[in-house]
Amino acid sequence: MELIINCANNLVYNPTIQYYVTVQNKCGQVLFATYTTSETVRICCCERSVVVCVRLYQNGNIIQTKSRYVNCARENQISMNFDFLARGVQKEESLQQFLVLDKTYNFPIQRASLLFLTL
Amino acid sequence: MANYDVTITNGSGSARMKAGTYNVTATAQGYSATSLDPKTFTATASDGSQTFTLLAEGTLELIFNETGASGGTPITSGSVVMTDSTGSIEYGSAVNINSTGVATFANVPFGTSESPITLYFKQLSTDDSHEIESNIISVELSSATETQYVINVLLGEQTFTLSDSTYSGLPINGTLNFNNE
Repeated sequence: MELIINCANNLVYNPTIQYYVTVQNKCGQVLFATYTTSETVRICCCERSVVVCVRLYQNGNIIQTKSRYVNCARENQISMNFDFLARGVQKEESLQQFLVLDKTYNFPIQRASLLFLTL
Repeated sequence: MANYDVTITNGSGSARMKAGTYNVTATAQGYSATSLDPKTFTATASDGSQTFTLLAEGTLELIFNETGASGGTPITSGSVVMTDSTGSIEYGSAVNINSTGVATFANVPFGTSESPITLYFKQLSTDDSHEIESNIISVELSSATETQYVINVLLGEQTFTLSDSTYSGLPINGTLNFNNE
């Protein structure tokens, strides 16, 4: 089974955030556990009906916990949303890529620096 | 309020930036900082990209002649283009070599004697009586106006005899045309 951990749209994927995923049976016994920083996790589901728990860690602290009952026989892919994470990892910066070319000959300028000052 | 200083290497650079509009200034050896285009940039919450251009103000004359030095007999036509160091990528349009062997490249970047800027050129053609320079032409520019000579060797002279096939030795006055297929 594959677990897809969805963040809200306004969140940036942050590899420093660590997920702790467990699969438990009805008695609370942990059948599978893994730490990951990936958004997609393959989980082991060895009983028909289990509880998938996801804990989200940042800097060693639990910032989110979610769980869901899963019927393994019926689902081979599940998603869990972390909608209220915006407080902790809200997207504030975006990656901007720059290309600097010679205006006449259109070749890439070997060495330059660009200084961006807030208007 | 955030400012960013982005290093550009081989034409490319990147930064994680807060959304907003920025004034942009550039520093690049051999280029006029005021020529930066555009001069503002708006970063959104989404990842993005922007191409900037800079205009240089140097002038390079490549002079093609039979000696590769001052005073040599010039070639009378041909063309040359700026390239990368391997000659595989051409930059801009080819420049014609005039009847006195000169090809002028305007708006080229230049450095200083301590730190010149190196540009590369490939000769594309020459006139009918000279050999093209087959190597990539490397030019170091350390001032706003530079001149470099490039040798185009005079082709070897071929001597032909045209005579009557019946009366051996009887010379014929005529013309031979040679077409290079």
